[in-house]
Amino acid sequence: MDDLRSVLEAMAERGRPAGAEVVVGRAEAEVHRPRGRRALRVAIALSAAAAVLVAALVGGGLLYARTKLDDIERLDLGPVLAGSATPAEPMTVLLVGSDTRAGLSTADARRFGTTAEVGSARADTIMVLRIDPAAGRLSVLSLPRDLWLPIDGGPSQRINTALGDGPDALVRTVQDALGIQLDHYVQVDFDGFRQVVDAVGGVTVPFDTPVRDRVTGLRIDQPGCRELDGDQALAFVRSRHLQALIDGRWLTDPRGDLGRIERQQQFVLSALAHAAGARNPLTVADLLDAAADHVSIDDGLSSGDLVALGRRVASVGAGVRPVVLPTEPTRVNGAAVLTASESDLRAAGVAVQTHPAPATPVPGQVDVTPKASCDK
Amino acid sequence: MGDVDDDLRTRLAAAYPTIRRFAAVVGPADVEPDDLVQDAFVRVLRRGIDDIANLDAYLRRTVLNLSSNERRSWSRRQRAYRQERVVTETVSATFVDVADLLRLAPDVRAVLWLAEVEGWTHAEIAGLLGCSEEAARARASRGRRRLRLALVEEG
Repeated sequence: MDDLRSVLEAMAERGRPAGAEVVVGRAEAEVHRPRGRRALRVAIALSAAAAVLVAALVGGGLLYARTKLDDIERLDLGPVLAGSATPAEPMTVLLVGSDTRAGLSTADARRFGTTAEVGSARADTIMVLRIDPAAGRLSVLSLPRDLWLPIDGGPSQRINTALGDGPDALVRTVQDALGIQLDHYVQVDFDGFRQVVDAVGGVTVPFDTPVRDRVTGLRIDQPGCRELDGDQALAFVRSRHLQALIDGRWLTDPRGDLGRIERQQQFVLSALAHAAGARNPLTVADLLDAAADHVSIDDGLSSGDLVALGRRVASVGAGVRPVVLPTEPTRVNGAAVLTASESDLRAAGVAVQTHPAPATPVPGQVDVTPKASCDK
Repeated sequence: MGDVDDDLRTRLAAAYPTIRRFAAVVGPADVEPDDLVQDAFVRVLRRGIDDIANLDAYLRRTVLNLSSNERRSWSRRQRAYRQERVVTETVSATFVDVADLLRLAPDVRAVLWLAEVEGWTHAEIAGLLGCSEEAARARASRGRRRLRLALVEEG
């Protein structure tokens, strides 16, 4: 019970955007402000960013698909991204799951509130993908949201706050930390995730034991392959307090956010397989709608490039290599954060770029093999 | 609202940090604390400061009442797990305990906060929240007892 006070204090800081200021005197206009907006906007872990993309692209030959893909928001990131010469060359993509969109349309801003009103965007899931089409390989490096890094050349903060300064700040932050050059940028918001999972009719995930997370509401009573709908999938990929029923006892996954990252990557693979298999025109149309409404990409990617990219990502299959960054939990000014050494960050940057074979492990690389599989 | 006098404006701005933290602890997790504070401020502005003897106590009671009402309607909506989701995202290191705290009623959380963090006595808390000293003491011990139970069950 010693930590009741610290738990209360942590709770007292919830939902506080940096530099929040109170507005006194605009009261009448604010009386009927809808409640819980922030709650709705809460970040999801968005592994399905990849799925939205791929799925959208699988149906890319259709005229409707082309039209929809042209609706996807383009971000002007030319000055910070390298871009790739042709879609056939290897490319490095920053994939971001955010709790808001970088650029809300006017209508959405009316509906959800502007950034100034609700606080700046935060990135909940940050992954570096390296796609090597010729070799049929895909490397994935997940950066924990609590990773403590110099933000855009300035003072250190949690990496997930960098998005508040704009996608270009996040790109520079990741590039500086890992010592790599990023080619493209893809951002998906939380609602896109649920829509994608529901559009493909659920995503199958293997469970070795019954599991639960009393925080996110996940509950799987029977081991085996389980089909998760959008809400359950959200509870699964956002779980940082997963408990497994082993020998009649609920045991907690001690890895917290790191365990979550591993589950997200596992989920990405499964979601990719589902989305890539989508041939039903209605499913494809739903996926495209989700992509158009919830995805932002850099303006260096044309719709044609997207289609080509998606097809190749979907065809990589077994060639996916997760790269894990070693981190240390610590506290800075009372905040729980994760730190990584400069050399480990650089090693992870090298590992994600070079796709080393699993037989020759390099620092920073860990093979994560799914314990069970749900192949049909 | 253009003629809110500067004195009141200053007093509300000064009260904001304390009330914001109080609202974050007491409010349901699916309600933005700033929305609760904003509503409480609106009520002050409507009534006028002359009617309100103790601004701090008035703001706290208003936030607590709004929280209790929100919590009831929220329960009806059966959105229990969403509530916990929100807070988990914000306080990663201690979320088990936060989840446990969230199961307590707003008035119990209010007493725990005022006693544990702000350091008021039970008599002072009674004055702030408009309840009896016995009620304040009972809520504090009920809260602590439930948290202990929650921790035991966890292990």
